[in-house]
Amino acid sequence: MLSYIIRRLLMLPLILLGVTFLIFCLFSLLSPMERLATYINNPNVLKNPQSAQRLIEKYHLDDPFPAGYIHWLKSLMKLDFGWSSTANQPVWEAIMQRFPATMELVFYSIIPVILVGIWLGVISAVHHNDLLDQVIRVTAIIGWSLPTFIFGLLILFIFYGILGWMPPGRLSAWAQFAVYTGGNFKHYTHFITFDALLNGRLDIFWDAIIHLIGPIITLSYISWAYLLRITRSSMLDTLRKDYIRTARAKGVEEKKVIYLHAQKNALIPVVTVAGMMIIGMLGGVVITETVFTYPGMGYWAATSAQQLDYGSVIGFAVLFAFIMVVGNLIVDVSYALIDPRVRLE
Amino acid sequence: MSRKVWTMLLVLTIVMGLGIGALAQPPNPDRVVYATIGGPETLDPHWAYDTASGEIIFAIYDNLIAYDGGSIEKFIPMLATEVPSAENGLISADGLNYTFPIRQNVKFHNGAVLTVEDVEYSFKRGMIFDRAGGPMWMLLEPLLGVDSIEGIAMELTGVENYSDIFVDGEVKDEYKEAMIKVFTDYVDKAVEIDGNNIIFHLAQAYSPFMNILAHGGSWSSIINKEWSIEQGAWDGKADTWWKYHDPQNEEDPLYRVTNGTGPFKLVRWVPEETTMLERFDDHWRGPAHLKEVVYQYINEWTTRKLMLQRGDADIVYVPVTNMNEVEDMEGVELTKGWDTMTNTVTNMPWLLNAEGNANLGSGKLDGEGIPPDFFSDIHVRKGFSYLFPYDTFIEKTVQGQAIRNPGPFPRPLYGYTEDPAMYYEFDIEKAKEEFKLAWNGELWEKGCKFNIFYNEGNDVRKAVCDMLSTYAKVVNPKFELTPIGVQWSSYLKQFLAEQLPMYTIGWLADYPHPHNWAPTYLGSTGTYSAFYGKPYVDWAKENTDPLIDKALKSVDPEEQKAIYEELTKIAHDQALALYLYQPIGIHVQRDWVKGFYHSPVISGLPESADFYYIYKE
Repeated sequence: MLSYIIRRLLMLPLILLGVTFLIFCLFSLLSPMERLATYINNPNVLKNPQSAQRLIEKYHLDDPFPAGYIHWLKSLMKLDFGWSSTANQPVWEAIMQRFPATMELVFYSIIPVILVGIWLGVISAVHHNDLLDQVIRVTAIIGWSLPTFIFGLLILFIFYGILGWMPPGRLSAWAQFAVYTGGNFKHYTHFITFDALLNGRLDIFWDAIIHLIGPIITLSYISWAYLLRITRSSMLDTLRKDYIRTARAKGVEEKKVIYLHAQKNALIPVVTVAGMMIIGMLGGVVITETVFTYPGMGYWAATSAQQLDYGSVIGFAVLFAFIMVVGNLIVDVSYALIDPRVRLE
Repeated sequence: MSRKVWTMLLVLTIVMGLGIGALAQPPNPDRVVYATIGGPETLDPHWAYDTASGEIIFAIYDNLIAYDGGSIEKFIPMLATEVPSAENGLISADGLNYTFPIRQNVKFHNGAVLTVEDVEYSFKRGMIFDRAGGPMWMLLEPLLGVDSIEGIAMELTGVENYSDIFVDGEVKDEYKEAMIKVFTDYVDKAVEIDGNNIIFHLAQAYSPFMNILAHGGSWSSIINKEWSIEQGAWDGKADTWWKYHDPQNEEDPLYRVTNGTGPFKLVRWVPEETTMLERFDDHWRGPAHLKEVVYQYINEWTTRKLMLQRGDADIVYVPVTNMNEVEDMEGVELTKGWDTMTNTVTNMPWLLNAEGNANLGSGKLDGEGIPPDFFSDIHVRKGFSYLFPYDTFIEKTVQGQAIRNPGPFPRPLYGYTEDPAMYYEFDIEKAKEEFKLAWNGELWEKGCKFNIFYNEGNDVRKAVCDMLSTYAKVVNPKFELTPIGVQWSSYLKQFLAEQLPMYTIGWLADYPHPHNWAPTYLGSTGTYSAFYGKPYVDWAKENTDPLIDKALKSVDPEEQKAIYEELTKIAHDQALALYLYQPIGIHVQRDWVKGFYHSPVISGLPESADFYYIYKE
């Protein structure tokens, strides 16, 4: 297994190179004048036709594709990902600033997703075609088909607009001043909730939690519906297996049959899906972050792509590819650990 | 219903009641939260050329002079102790020398005391900094007579491209002396110290010069010399200036650190997320009322609206199209009718680039397209000028929050007039008459087919295209104008390539003087008019450039007024563009916010505020 892991990790640089090369290829299809739009949001910038040319030369927008790519690779060797004109800061800094926020959101969202998704999936399968199964399935279909944007706004409107319970953003203004001024608040993990506890600031912890609840509900409701469906079908499949019938014939208690014999095996494919779902959530938080003004990676990545900010797009893609490869590897390894029949070669 | 359910409902009602009841009092009386869209690009005053950066820099830095409240003509002294004028002798009779006595005992945020050297350094650093696409042309034009310092460098070195001066990032030996001269003979001489005075020597009389100096939030801000050098900014030497010229974003040492004399100092800036400011207690005008100002950048309108409703945001940017949603909101004040220094036009270039240009159809006047010089015929331009329903558009599309401009100049600048003779009215019959005269009657007989453009996402511009397209069909069924929405990148590319037959675009003032508008729309080298094609450029050189230049150099306001009015008449008579509208701004805040005033020239107003005067009660 170790050699498998090493082989997979050795492939990582090649994959990253491939990803960046592809994105560069795509950007090179655009003319220098189209790429110039990244730097011109306001026509005032174009004092005269010479201004446009100055900008094209300054940002190497008319460099031929290989020269541009090599220039970027050289910068990368110095750990310089370039400048993000959408984030208005270096790409690497933009990633470091936003990534922990997204990770924190995904971390808290995945708990209800897995717990509720698997639990309801099992119940639904056990009560196959009962009223309970139908109710759960309908709820899942609603979650699966409800646009995140609408659901998020609904949550925001009810729980913030009417009840005032779940404000948007990551922290209230007072908490921002407390966290970011004076230097008394130490950032150990860059997860605000963890750091607040480690700093002994329960007030900030609570403030961060109430800001997280809305995005968590939005993100997890949409995702658990998917996991529920996977768990349900896997569970139904397992419950029809011969060894389950044998267990029942032997007179094993039904609870034991379901939770000891069936659930364990049914969850093997679910692990793969859940692992990929966590990775997917990192990239799929755009709408949730936008609605709740949650300062994570999603919104920035989407805006960068829209504004042809290739520095940011590549930075984001490299990070995502890295997470994807490592995440996949973890899923594969855990799959082998859970299922003794699987051997990694 | 069970007792439990009733109890829960009761608790819920009390909680909601408490929430709403709490809004009667202003929360956090020392702090204002302003929820808006899009954050600053930079905090370096010499880089900043966007409204969001300007707003923050305005709160952190001061200028020598400022506009008096909402006026765009009267100035008040800030870091200067007097406003120069011909009467007090601080402006020379020829309009070439401006003297500013510098205020004493003014402190920067780091505790340093303002000196005349700081002022000198600020302007010289700005001139040598001169980033591509930046704002420093506004000082370079009056002070050195060029729009980029690279122009002087190329002239003195005799090279064709600025980059030819360098090899491996260093100045070639043969050009070193000339490069030093760029500073010693030009930049250094343009701004000089005389005792406690700073004197500007202009290369040409320049009527908007005071407006340029008074514009807060960017190019004319005063920075601290010693601190700036410590941060890695230009060291003040003649033989190094080019190393600090036009840096890449990440190489600009002042892009995220600040040290001004303004009423607020920077606490934290997270691009596109938040900017947090704190009161500077040693501010020379006395401390501001507010202790803290927080800018929250929230692109989603519904979220901003809910924050306003809950009282978590005190001032909110509200798009005019959403104005109705806050009009009757309890505890919220909406004020309308604020002049803005921006307008929107539809341009009709006289000669289009036909190469690979699919927008022209067949490229001939055969009913299947238009020739590249289609709009060089005045009757075509006049026909379209009569074809647009200006009043309906303002009423329906921008909800009445706009006025019409007769030409390029917005209200209340010179050149703006309410004389009805200077406005085209929507008149299908007159449009028909003009189109029948165009191209010797050929246009009317054969018809035309071409694309008209707006940038995707801009619904107002889309409405302009839709209206033009609809009425073109009404006036003559053979007129087929196809509205096309394209991404901004594509819009820009086609604009620069002179391929857009008709396109709608706006202009936001750099400073409130007609000279900021005249060359832009009418001159031979203007931001827009330079792209109208060679026939226009040649025509402008003869007809508008001399007038623009005369007004620029005039020191007589009456003469300036007459010239700009003449330019308006030319724009009208030649139907150079469809002058669509000048937006009227709105300001939305909680009713506990006090101290708001409007100035059309302060970055971000009327949506934002001059936070020095804002308080809550």
